[in-house]
Amino acid sequence: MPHGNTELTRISDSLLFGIYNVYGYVTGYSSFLRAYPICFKHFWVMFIYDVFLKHVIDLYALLTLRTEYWDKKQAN
Amino acid sequence: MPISRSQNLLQCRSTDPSVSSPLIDEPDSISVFQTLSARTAYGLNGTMATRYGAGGGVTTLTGACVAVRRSLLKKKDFCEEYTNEVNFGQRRTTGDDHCLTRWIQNNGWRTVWQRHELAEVGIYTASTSRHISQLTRWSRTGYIAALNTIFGLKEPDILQLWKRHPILGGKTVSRALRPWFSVFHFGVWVYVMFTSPGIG
Repeated sequence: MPHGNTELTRISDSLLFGIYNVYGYVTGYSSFLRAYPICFKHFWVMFIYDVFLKHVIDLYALLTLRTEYWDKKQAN
Repeated sequence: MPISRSQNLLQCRSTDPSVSSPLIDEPDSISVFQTLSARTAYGLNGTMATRYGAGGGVTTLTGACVAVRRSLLKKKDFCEEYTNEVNFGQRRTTGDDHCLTRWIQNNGWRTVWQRHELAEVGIYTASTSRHISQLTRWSRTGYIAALNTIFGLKEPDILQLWKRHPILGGKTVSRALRPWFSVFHFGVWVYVMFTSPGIG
């Protein structure tokens, strides 16, 4: 065992991974907010989208692929 | 319910302070979905630049505005393909941008692009949750287009694409894997929540 406390090792590894992610978020969001400072009011929605909503949309799209076909469309 | 109001958010990109837009005049009126829409559109800037610079690909925006040559419209096979695109044995209602790009590249057309301020195409942002359904539709279209290329259902298939545009070939493979990475994300999150709830 290279480390004595495995729980601490797992937590530190998770923190390192988290810091790597946070670095990406900070650089990405800061460049966007510099271009669109007006969007600062709702900047939290970008975080929600990147962490959660993006994956939900992809999963929902995967499960509902057939809805884009003509025979599944409802006539107006 | 009032009709959703769309505003051209990309007009705000102008660095000229004398250029105004409804969005700047009413800063409190920006909605959550407009912020999300601007963010997703802004994220495309780097993607498109990379595809052009590294892979030689040119983005077509047929949904926002499309002008088709009359000589092209006279071609019956183009009109058939453009209006009746068949995927997996069924006609589709979306994915016209993929269809048009594929057709003009497979039939020997040359592509040019205009680098001029007046040629800039803006994207209208939805102020309501309609943008979420739009993102879902884009996700479906991109996934189906990637599957078409990988399984060789449409020309060019993945090997031809890889030889012509290696970066775009890699992007196509990663696009087909993206929903499955989302499945993996959720699986890992559920597993961590059960094993180490603090980290999860």
